[in-house]
Amino acid sequence: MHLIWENLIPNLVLFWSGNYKGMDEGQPYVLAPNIWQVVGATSTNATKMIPSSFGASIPNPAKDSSYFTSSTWSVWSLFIAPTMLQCCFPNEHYYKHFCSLVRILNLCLQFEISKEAINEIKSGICKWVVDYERCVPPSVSKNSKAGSIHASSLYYQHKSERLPACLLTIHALLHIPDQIRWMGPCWTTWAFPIKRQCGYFQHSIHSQQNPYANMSQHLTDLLQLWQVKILYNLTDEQLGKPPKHPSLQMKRLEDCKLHPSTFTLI
Amino acid sequence: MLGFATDSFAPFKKQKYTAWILLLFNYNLPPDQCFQKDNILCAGIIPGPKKPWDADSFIYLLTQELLELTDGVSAYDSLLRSLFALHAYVIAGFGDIPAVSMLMHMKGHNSLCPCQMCEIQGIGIPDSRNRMLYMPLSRRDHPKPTDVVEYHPERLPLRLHDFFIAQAKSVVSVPTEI
Repeated sequence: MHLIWENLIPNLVLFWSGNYKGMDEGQPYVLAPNIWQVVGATSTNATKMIPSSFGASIPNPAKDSSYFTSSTWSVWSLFIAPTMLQCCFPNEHYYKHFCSLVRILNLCLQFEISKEAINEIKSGICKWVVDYERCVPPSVSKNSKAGSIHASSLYYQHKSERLPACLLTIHALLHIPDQIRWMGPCWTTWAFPIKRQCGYFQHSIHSQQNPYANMSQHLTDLLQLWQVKILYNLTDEQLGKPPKHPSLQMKRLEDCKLHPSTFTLI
Repeated sequence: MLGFATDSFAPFKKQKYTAWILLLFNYNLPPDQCFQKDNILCAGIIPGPKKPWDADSFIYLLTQELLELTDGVSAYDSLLRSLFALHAYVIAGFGDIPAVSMLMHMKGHNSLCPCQMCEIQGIGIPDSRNRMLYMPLSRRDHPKPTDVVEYHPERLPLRLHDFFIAQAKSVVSVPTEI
């Protein structure tokens, strides 16, 4: 699930901005540069109106997409992009295709997923991937001329020189419904908590010369402190940690709404 | 019930060095607590700078302890003031694509069959210096004939446990060329 915001959405953005591996020249999915600039600037400005519990502020996707993390990509793609990109594409198929993805993602992010919803996710993702590769949408191909057929071809277009569009990350989407069926909703096994822990250890390194020794020392200290806490039944305050801000403390489960990066209060 | 996860990260940005962390999640905690920092058990760090050649040797100690926990270890319940057998079972192992390939001894995302869940094969771009393999469902218009012309998205050839083990055994039993 993490790969969607780590790979899929950034790649789609590269497609739209015409920077995807140098194969976007004259393609119908590329947004006009001025439109893309406006979309980027408006996205950043919109951050001022979004409550901070949705996460960090959104960078400008047209200018500094390297500042994006997967959680900011998720906020951008789920809440901002569907409105921003409306009427931006030369061809409406791309917008509809993206919106169907957002709809599936919203279903995947539910706290509890029913069997019917899994079936819906499955058929939705299959259709999305087939559409991604498709050359001509069937509804258009019947009554249209050659020109408009070209204009409505999606990303891969069944051309071998466009194969770099079909990465493993696109294929991996097809397995999400099975994983939900076997392991439970996406939040049980996704990589967000693992990545956060990685970042936490990254920041613990202070020695450039012996980073690994530094890291293991930090981990040992941490676990020893933890054992002391359990042995003597101490609270966080007694160990010198600042108490949590009341607004950050989690309330009952029913009050929490699932959000890609964290649990947020409504 | 525990979940086991692993992942790689770069200790320094802009460098290729990697380190791998081994994490355990406690699924018995309520969902809003089990992924909080204080409740994640870090079982260890595999130091870099290279990817471990034999990850199993690092995970061996953890596996032994987890096997012990499956049988139950004696623990003290301070509320009831008595000993009880503490059991823990790993129900899931997960991570991103490189991490799971490392745990399962697979070749990873650039191999001929990169997917961990099905046996779909990658195809390359003909007459190109780019040696990467890509994974479209439809190979109808590919110049080189392929075994499967088009994969059905709802009926992918999933990897089955027995078949996967058989493949692994045949790989292990191949004599090495010297």
